[in-house]
Amino acid sequence: MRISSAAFAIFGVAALQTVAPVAYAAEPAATIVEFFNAPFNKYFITATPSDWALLDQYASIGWKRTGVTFSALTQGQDSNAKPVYRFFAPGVASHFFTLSEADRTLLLNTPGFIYEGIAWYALEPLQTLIATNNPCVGGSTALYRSFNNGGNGPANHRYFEDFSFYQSYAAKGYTLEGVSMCLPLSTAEKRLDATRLLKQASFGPTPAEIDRVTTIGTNGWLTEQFAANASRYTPRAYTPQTRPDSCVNDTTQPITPTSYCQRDNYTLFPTQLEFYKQAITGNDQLRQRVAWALSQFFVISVTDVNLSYGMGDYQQMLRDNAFGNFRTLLEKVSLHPAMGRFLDMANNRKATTTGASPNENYAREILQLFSQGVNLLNDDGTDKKGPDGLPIEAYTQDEIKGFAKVFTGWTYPTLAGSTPTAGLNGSNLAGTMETRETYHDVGTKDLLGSAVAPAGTSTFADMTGALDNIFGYANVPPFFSKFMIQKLVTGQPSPGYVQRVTNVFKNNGSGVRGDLKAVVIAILTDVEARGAAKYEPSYGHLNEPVLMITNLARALSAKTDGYAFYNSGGAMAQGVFSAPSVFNYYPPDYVIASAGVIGPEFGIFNSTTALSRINYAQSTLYGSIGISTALYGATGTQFDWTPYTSIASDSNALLNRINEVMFSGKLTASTRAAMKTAIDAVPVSDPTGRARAALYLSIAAPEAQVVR
Amino acid sequence: MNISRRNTLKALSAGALASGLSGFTLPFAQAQSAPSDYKALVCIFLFGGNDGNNVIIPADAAGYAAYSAVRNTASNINIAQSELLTFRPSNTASTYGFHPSLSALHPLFGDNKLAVVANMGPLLAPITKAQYLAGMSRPYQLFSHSDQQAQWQSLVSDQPSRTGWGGRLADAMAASNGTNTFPVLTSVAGSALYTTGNSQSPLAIPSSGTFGLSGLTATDAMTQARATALNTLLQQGKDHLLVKSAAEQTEQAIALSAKVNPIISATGSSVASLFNTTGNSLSQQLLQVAKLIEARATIGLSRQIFFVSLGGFDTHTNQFNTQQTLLAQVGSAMKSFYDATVSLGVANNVTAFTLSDFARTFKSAGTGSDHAWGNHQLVMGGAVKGGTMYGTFPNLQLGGSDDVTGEGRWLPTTSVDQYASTLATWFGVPAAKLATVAPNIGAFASKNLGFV
Repeated sequence: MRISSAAFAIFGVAALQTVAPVAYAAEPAATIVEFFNAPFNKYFITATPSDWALLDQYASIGWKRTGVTFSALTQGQDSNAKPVYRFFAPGVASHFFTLSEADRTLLLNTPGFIYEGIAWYALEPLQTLIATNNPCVGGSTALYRSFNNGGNGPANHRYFEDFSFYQSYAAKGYTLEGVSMCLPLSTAEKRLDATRLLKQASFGPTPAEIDRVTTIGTNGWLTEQFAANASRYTPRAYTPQTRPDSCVNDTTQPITPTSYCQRDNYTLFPTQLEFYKQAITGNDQLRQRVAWALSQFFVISVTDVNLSYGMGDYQQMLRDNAFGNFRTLLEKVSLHPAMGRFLDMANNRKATTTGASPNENYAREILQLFSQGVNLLNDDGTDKKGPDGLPIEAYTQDEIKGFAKVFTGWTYPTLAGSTPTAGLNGSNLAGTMETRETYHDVGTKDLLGSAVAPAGTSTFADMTGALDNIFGYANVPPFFSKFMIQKLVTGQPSPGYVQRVTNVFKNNGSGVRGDLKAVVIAILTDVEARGAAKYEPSYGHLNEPVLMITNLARALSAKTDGYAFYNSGGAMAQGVFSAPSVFNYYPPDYVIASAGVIGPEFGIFNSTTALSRINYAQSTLYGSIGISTALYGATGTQFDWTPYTSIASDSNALLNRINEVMFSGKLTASTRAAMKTAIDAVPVSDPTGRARAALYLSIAAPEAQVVR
Repeated sequence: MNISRRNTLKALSAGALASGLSGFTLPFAQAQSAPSDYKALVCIFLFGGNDGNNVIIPADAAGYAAYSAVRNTASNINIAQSELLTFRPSNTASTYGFHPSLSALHPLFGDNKLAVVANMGPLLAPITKAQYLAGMSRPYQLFSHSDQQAQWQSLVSDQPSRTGWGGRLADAMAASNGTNTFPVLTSVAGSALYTTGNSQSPLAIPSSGTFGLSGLTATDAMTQARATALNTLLQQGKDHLLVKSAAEQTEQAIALSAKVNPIISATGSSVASLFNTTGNSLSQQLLQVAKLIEARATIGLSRQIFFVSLGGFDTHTNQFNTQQTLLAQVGSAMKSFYDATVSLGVANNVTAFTLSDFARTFKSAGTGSDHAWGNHQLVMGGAVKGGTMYGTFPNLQLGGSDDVTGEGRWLPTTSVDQYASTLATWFGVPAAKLATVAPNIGAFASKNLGFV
């Protein structure tokens, strides 16, 4: 027989009764282990160790651990906890768990159900459906229940703590039944959530930072990060666009601060050096990480901006505005001369009598890449569809032409100490562009929608009006929100996740649109980012090369002058600030053809870069990193091996730490066993060698490199 | 320890040429000689949108007058008539000229080894200017880099595609390679949609340097234990799709590197001296392709598809100098590659062809030009029926019969589908399977432009 749907209806009502919210801190004493039987197509969860032993013996008939576990309470652990009753329906050979007394009463009187006793103890949810609020008190997490309706085999439930994984079951024909109970997070789970947060929102966890975030919690850490002072790229003096012949690299020792004139001014060396130094050692981790994401949204690249004074000035601007407002940021990006050079808005002129049109480059890319995307979007980030079922283009060529006219009349900043002229300035990549009305198109211009910029508008006012027009358009919140979720948390976010962040972009709660700080908070505190382990099989994202590099350095609590790192990403297709074009290193919608899922970072993951990544671990962990004689004031790079070497004699203890810091707790038993053999092959007398082997393998391990 | 595990270790640890020995379930055929009907296609993608209007320029009086009426010296993107490398296609009464930077390629046209396909672009179906202006039958996101790159590479212009036509061509020809699982597609330019098939996925090799894992060659127990663990961990956690994808690519890379590295790292290539790779990334990439073709007997495939690229063609400003530099690289690299195929005795078996995002506006945007549509492409090889211009050269009048926006964005008169179908047919795809490569080919009257 099938489990009666009436039981579930009653369950739903009963579960709506709520308990007063209290912060929950008790350490759970029980573990729920999930099993799956493929031949029977049946999931089963149990907290009873004798069940585990029995099912492990039944592997031959298909029972297998899924790897999913939950924490639970035992009797007497907590006075607020309720017993969870376990029923068995022999007709369908399936179990059902409920903490509802009403369910229990009903099922006790329903033929076909056998009461098997109390399975574990759990907390009652505050609500059974989830929109934006967490249904469980802090320190506990929701257990969602789905039901297959008997549609693909015998009636069976599957339970989830992972919200996105739970949601993905709708597409498999399961009914999503809501929150069945709240389970306590164990300290281990809280530590893994802290680790996950640090992978999502910083340049990687250090062992000490994991301890701290576990103690102060997500909100405590975010508060601290928003208050931290921004790291600064050292401002560098203007240098002419063309290198003077006198500016060369003089390798004569001892070197001086100006020995490497060419490298320090006509390459991105100083900026890349400081990027890594500050990413690895800076306290403003969240700001830097968000700025790094923004640098892949508002892309400029060494391809046209290879002078460090300009690149540093632009990247600092992104950092300084990372927690500000999107509209402000859009204007600062638009008027920055490095962007002006990169996308040709600097010295862009109205149509000339000799037949040249205003340049369309910035006009097109500000719409396509910096604000709208190419298609009209719903607030949940999915494409709107036309009557033909196809996406609807977000703007027209006439609108591009309109914006091209808008963005005429701007020139590079006048050099310090010079007097502005009425003419156009030569390249100067720091500061803010200046207006030159003579070159501005004062005709009417088509903007987005049916808006038209009136004739006779000044250069500045035209720009302001156009950016307001862009910012007000409905595509901006989902387009930007989805991108930032992808950069920080997961490459294939659910529509619900995008929708929740979009809502915050549209209104931060105080009526402000485009509050980036609020957007960042919404992304990082969402149920799809926080809580217990995530099991949805496309959740998370591959660590892009730069993050792989900084993760390893921070796992070793590196102190560095940056020299060892500045050029490391190039061989993995991600040199810092060196994207091939304004389309970034890889597209946000890159689909892994063989898997049929979106994995943006896989756009630069191929057989060449796959090996480069592992070879990077080899050279970093096994090579020698000296103090460069080509860097004035070099201090080199020092790793702190202590968190690993201090426990390295016990390979299990070492693997526990590696699992936490590098694998986000996702180290499978077989990988663990393989790594243990490799570690144990190194003598106990060489603790650093043991740590090296463990860290090397964690860089090579896809299980560790997919951040979840 | 089973055989495949042991052999994998060998590949991992020795980096040896492991034909037929390498593990990771990729048995390579033990071919001792090149397949009798070896054929290779080489896709040269010019990223950014190469301005075809300055690659092929009408050179006779009337034609050049039409050109210079718009691209005059004040446009800042004028090529002087005296600079043109002139040629008269066998099928036209008019004379044309190549950009002066293509001096290396120019003689190949006269030798009938180089063909021009004029005014080609992504299309849903043949289209008139009136239809375009009425908003009918337009490929999606015209003039957008990412979308137009995708359409040239995928032949799908009504919605984004997950596969490219090189990949689908490899799918269609996979059977001709028998049990050999060496990838049909090799990219020397990283990941590209062009090389993604439904079942075939590309090998990506570096354009220089070694290709393989370092630091695992020592035979001591510690290193070997690490290599074993590396092999094992690539088999785990595959219930997560991203883990699985990363693991499979890494696994394939390790296995193939043992085979490929000796080929591309060898110093004894007979064709290396033909290439001037200094400051020329495309030349470097095509040298890698030539080395793999040189080693075709070792690789043992009868069909191979290669992808190489050069970027920097998005010349909104400073076009005159930028394109001059880039086209000189293209010309030199392509000519070297052709000479290499001659030297290897496979000139008739290898066809190279160009693709690019789009052409650029005929009208100047100051010192450069903006994104446009129909573009000219080059096809090169011993099998090419060169010395001829295929397709129809556009009317260069702004706002004229071929211009859809007034800035000189040419309405293509030949579709990329036809271009690809022609190449696919030469490659051996039977007419009945052409639609698997070019799904939209049925919309066009001619499935074979006849240039090869």
